[in-house]
Amino acid sequence: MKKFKFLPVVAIMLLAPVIDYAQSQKECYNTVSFCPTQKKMGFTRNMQSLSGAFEQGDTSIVQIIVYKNMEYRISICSPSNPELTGQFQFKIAEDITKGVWKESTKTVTDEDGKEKTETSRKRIYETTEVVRYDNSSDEMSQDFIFQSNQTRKLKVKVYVPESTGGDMSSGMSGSSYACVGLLVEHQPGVVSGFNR
Amino acid sequence: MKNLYSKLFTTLLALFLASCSSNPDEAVNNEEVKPAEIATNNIFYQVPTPNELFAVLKNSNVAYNRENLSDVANASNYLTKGSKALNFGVYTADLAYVTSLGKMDDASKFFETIRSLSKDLKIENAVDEVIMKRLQTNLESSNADSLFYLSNETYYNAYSYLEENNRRDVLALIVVGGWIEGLNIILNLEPYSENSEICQRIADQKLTLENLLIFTSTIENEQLSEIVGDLSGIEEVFNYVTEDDNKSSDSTEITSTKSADGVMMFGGGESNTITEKQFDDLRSLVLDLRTLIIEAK
Repeated sequence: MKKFKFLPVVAIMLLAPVIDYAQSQKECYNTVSFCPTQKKMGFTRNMQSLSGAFEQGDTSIVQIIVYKNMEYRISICSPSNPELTGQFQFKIAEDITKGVWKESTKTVTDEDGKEKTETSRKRIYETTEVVRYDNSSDEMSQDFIFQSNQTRKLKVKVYVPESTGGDMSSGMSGSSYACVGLLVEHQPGVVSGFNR
Repeated sequence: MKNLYSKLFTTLLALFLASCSSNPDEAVNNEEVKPAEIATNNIFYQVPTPNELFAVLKNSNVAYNRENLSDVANASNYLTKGSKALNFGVYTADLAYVTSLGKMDDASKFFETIRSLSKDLKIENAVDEVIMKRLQTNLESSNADSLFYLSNETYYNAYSYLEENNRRDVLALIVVGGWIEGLNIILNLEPYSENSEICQRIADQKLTLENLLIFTSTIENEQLSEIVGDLSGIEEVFNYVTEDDNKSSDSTEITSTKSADGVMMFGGGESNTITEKQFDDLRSLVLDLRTLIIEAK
């Protein structure tokens, strides 16, 4: 019986990461509402925004849909971990699928026993990822404004850096998670720059 | 007792190991990699709201037709949580359409109906006293833009409240109801006209439907499963193989250019289009599904 006395302690240790993650998610549910908005510029909060508990060194992908002729602003914030401000790396990428015709030839024997070459064409679809924006090439800017000439799906990849000596757990339940908000805002597309 | 502890330990160990192996890519990938190359399962699929759809169409001289809207008198007929949630979504889409066109008179009755349904669904903060006061002020001053903004806030409040309280089943039903009503409205704005603004926005809904189906697939709810099953017919119509698919690709080169005022423009790729047959089939299917929802059959 004695040797099982440690089991409750082990149980707590084993369950801690699971409970911690769930707790973190709950704590982070509304982080994005604390991110600074650009209502002054005419932007409206977009429901494709996301709040979550991000682990340091972790990358999350948020797939959003942007409409043609709308202007979007994407920004990232972590009010619970101000030391991360300016440190988030994010990319906007798009999967491009192209249909191409692929020709193949083969040698066949006809009814008279003669060999001949037959060419067939087959339509195949290839998908490649195109990075549209990378904030590491833009002085680690933490926000980005863009428009699209047509409606498309975009992937926003957000990377939370490793903390440099600081405690990532500030504002959280003693963990290595940080509450991060990915704020998406929109407004009708601007043809000229006069209202900015 | 010993046996109990032993079982507890085994269960916890299994749980621990299961949680550790939930991302196999991470388990095997010990090489140093650049941030963007880190394998991840953290992918979230987002769905634009009806408010965003009607914001897009706001400056497109969209017709206003009351017949496209769900009758607010039906609200008292919805008795189950599922029918209330679906129709909450329907009415929020109607509200977005009405307020995007600045129709003050109709807007207030939709706000009232949504407020009533939000109480039934225990989404107390969706249309709270603050919003009602701001609504009144904006109605008196005929401030159409603020009214549209308020309709967005209403949806945002409901969405946030349901997420916070882990009521994703209700949230998903609202999103589905809103998506169907939004599509039904734009399908009935004007007759088919190839490459018209409206037809392009209808074609765009193929993309939003794809994300909607992934989003709802993570949620277990019987009524949600039924309605999502019905969406498969709509997906099939969007996926009809057209003659264009057999031609050489008409997609243009991918470009990203900065305008004079510093805004990046993403260009290129394939445009979304639909044929007249797709338009007609969609109109019929969506109307049937929408009728099921608003008649709470």
